[in-house]
Amino acid sequence: MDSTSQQTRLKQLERIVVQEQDKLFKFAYLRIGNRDDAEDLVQEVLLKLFCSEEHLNSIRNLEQYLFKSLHNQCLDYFRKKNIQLLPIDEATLIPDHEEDQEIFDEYLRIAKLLNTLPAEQQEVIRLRCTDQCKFKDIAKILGISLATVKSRYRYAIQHLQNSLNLNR
Amino acid sequence: MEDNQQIITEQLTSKVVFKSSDTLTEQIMEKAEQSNPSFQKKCSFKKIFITAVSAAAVLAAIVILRPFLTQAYSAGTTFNKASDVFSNVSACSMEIFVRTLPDENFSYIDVKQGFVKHTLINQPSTKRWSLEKPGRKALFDGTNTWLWQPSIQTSIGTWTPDNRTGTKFPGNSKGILEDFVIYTEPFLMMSLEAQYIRLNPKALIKKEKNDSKLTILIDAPAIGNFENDFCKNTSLEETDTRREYVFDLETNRLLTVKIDAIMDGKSTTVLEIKNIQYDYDIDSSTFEVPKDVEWMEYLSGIHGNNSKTSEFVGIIPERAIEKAFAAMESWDEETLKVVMAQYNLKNIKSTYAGCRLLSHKIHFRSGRYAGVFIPCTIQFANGEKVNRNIAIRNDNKEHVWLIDGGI
Repeated sequence: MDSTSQQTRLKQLERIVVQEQDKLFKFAYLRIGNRDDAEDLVQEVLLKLFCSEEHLNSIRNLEQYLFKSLHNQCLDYFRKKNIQLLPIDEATLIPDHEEDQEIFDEYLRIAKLLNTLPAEQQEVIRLRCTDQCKFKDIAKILGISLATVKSRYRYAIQHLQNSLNLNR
Repeated sequence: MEDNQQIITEQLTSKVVFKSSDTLTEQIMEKAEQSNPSFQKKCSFKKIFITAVSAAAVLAAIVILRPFLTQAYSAGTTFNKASDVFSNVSACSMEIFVRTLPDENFSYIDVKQGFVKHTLINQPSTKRWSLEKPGRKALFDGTNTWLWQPSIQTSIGTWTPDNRTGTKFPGNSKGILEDFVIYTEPFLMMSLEAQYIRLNPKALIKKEKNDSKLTILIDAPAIGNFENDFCKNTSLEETDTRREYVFDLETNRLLTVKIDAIMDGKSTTVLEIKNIQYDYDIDSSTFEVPKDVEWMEYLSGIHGNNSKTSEFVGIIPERAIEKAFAAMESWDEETLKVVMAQYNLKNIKSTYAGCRLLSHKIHFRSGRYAGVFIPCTIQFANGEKVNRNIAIRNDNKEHVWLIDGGI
């Protein structure tokens, strides 16, 4: 790649970074609850996009593309993290950065709400409610059918209604 | 009902502002500037070279250890009794915790990593076995050996590998596990350790009896030729180790194993075996392979066996390396199928196609590695230059030079 097209691509990337980074950070943080790791994953996703063959100006559904990529990064993160033998650190109940108390509390609040759901249903709910994704985008992000997304969402809502005693 | 749904979705909708760090944009742009988008890599260099069959050649930067494998045969009473126990059970299972990465070769060990749980199930009567860690699974179903990356349940869903291909090897191809092979045969692990004790007078043995348990501690010095210390501390054999075995005195059963590597006066546990279950009740699906994996047959023989094979016989290793890199530069698959028979060419093509050998030095030997190492300076298609010690060996029946590590 010559230096002019490299510069053009860098500018395109910068625009995407500025536009999407907070949204992506929220996506990752609400799954991970740790600023440093969440930002690392966001960085990795954006660099992957930069190094890909995609035309940065013409990705059809950029948000869906990035969410899908970040979802996979998060899965990989948990896959690697789950296999560590290290004891669960009590300190994880405190945010890594003092100034993150508010977002950390929010992470815990939502995590507790979703805690009783199977992982697959949790993710559908997160994508729908906290990331404001459409059902058809959720299907693409998770690589499942639209019908499956809707049924997981329906089961999850029913379950939450019961657990929150909203049916009484 | 709809009101309830709204209440729930409102509760799950975050009102808090999530703001990434002020420096994040800068960091990303800085990294992007350092990278070159025209050079596509699916894996980092590190990942590529540690996936190689023998990573011993590239250990200058990362300390890689592989589980011990002694060459001896049985002798020591305690180990022999434990070996008999393993031979006579209907089946056994055990958890093996190793400092490694989940989707690397089973033999790959890195003291800087956390522990990864491996599960072994062995059925002596049928010789079937299954070894699994997150990211890699191998099993012998009584007819063939299968190796693939399984899907994994995580806390946010199922992680599925990008590449849903696996390899089918004929018969009981335990060699694919490299040094980890002894764990598929726990009885062998015991008898080999017994023999090691007998044949290595420098090993210090200590026995401790405690209630119903017997602990055997073995302080074993590194084995090998370290005139060139390149391979020192690169495998458990080539590292000073302390190995601790705990047995049940009444039943002679092995209870736990712990292996510490001693490096620079520091001791680090690199492998532990726990939760050994004897006469384990095997599930009917234990030795089944998934149907949604695309299985590739392993090439018969140790090399591609095509018209290019003879080009890698009867030459010096330096010449073999030159030919190998010439083939990489033009991506001559016929040639690469021979000299790089141990690699999946599809996986490494994006990184190594167009790669050139700029210079190399004369080969050297180190430790217990059967082949040689050749220090090379190579240049990737994007212009990046790196130094690598390429491992190459010809200790096969046909004496064909095969690249074995460093890639």
